[in-house]
Amino acid sequence: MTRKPRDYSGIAITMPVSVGYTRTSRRTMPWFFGRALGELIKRSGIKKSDIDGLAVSSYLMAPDNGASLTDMFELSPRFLIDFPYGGACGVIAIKRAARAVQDGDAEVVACLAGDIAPQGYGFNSAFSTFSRDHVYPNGGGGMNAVFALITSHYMNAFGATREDFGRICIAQRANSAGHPMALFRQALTMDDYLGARMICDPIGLFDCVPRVCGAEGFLVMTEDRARSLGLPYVLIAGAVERHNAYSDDPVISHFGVAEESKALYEQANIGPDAIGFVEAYDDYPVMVMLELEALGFSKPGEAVSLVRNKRLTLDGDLPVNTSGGMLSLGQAGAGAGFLHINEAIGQLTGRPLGRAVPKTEYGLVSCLGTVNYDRGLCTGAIVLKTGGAA
Amino acid sequence: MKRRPDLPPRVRGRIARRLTAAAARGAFEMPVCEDCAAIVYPPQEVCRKCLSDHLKWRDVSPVGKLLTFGTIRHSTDAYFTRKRPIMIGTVQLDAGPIVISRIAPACATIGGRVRLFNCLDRGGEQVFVAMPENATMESTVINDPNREVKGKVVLITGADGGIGQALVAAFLKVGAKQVIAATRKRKAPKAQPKVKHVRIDLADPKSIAAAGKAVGAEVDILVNNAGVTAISGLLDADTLDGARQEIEVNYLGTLGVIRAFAPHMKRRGQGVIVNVLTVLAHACLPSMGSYCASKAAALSMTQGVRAELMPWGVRVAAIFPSTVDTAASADSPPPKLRPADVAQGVVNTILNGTEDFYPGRFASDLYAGWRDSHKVVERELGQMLPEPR
Repeated sequence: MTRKPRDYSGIAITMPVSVGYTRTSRRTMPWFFGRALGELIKRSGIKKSDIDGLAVSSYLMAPDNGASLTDMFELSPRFLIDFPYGGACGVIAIKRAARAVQDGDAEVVACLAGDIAPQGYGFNSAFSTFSRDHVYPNGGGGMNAVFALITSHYMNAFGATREDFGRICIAQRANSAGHPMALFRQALTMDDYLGARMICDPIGLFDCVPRVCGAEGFLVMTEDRARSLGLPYVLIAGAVERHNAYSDDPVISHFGVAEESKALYEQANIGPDAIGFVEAYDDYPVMVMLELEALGFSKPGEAVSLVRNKRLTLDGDLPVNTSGGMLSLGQAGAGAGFLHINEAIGQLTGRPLGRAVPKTEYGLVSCLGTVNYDRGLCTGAIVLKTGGAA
Repeated sequence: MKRRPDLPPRVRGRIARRLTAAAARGAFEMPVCEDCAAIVYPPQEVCRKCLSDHLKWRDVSPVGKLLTFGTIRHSTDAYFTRKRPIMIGTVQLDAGPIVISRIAPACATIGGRVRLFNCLDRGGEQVFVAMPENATMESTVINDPNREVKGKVVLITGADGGIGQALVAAFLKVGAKQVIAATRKRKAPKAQPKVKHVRIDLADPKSIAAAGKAVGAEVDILVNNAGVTAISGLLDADTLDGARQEIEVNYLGTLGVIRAFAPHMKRRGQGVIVNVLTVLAHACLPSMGSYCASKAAALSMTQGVRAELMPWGVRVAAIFPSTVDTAASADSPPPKLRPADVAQGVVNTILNGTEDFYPGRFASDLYAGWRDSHKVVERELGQMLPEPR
């Protein structure tokens, strides 16, 4: 790139909302989004008519989309965008909404992401032409198979063992203790982790994120507006995205935004040591390792050393997934991208749903989405900074 | 009728069906960019590298290296759930493409050399299977009982003709449990180990029904070999009797045999039917015009029956020989195929799980010419008119 992007000053992200998070539901997607939107309005004190921007991400809402929601909820936005980018939608939604607000195209953008959990045989097969035609027919392994191949490759290339991934899962489960959305009541031990049934070798049961039905939301507006509403908010210190980076990796061995990492920290004017916690997309633990390498917490290929020597718990050396992440709370489909954002907002504004991490000015969220063939294509990373009314 | 067996997912897009088409004839092809030489996999219509749409499907070397692998122990698919555990891997072909494929357990070494086979799966759609580089394909990797002849019961119609006898010998040689030799003869010929006789006259529906009732439940593989030719032109014939008999036997009689035996195969959720057609089913040779027309009907019928049986796990194949050296073709000019080669072609079609086979140079060249321009082939064959009488 020859030009530097504009900063995101003057933009506030506020009002993290989670709805649902049940294993099954007979509700339709518009119910989850309607509830989330209702909570955003009720708790923020804005009027429904104040919402003049809408950003939506959901896989299983088809054939409906963001436009359908404007009808169903009687919204009339001036800015509308849908994201089929899976977990990457957290960072992407913020970037798009922030620019819309900065440019004056909208004043209050409601961002919504979520999904219902599909049931029964046959789902998980047609999320792209290549997956349907060239991956799924090889045993119907779905995402588990795709990430098992990446995990096995990483283990062979960098000497990671199953215990190393177990350390991540165990730390995250510990972080989820006391979280109201935690799916598991007990601590996870290494024996539990290693002894659990295998899903697609080398991935076992506790490497897998449980699918749930739910929706997440937040509002993007100017800092001034957030202050006048008296809402606790965070600021965007830096944000980057990159899609299909490292396309020459025969098996993906890098997290996409690794190439944007320098630019991210330059935007934020800090280094990785200023980051108080990392909410790292944790579907699957191998990706957490790649994300930590990509964002400067260890050298490339050396995340194994990091997880063996640093504690990743809330009170540890480098808190990772302070809520327990999707491994502990579940993935509401496309809502995955917002789960980590909302936890970061909660931590930085001093209002986490679970336990608090030691007070810090900066938190980092990294996210991944959209497998087309053999790797997640869309990646993003955002450094959030404590804003006001904390 | 019992409910349909679970089969692997049968959905594929149009581009992926080119891979299926290649698997059906035992080819290993991928789109290659004519502008930048990139091999485009997964297949699509525009080059990944240079965005040219000048892509041509070509044979590609199927060997490469296994980069990584995993073992599926959980699936959201009912068929794969029953077949667990299933091994899957990422192969980098020497030619470049990254292919996710089924892998044989014997391959499971990161960095090991492998060969990919382009196969039809149980559902009739394409999958790649990786075997160790110097090994042959093992159909157990994709759980396909239809690719086995050993231990199977094979029924061959027209078993006393030149091709028929060669078929009996070829199936016994590869270990069929029993061959049921079906002929028009009322009396069983001399007894032979592992060979049973049954009467089937394709012009006699009662004989077909009786045979179906007597042995239908036992037959794993049905080879429709019986046929007649009047060796007559279309306008040239004095009456339509010859043409009627050819239709009655080659089309309707063959269909009648399939209708008698397919229900048993459907009930079992497996089975193979091979129809002995002719390369002239595609393009008419006027000196045998009515025969060619009857075989063209049989070809279309083969396609229809294939589609009806695919959801039941029953495979339908066809072989398209040119002139075969038998008593029936004594007056035909060379070149002629040896009956043993045609019979081996039928056996190989079953073992390889392919659908269409053109034995010999002449048949495969004629077919390639027909695909390139059917009108050119039509004119060329059009020169061989019936003998003036």
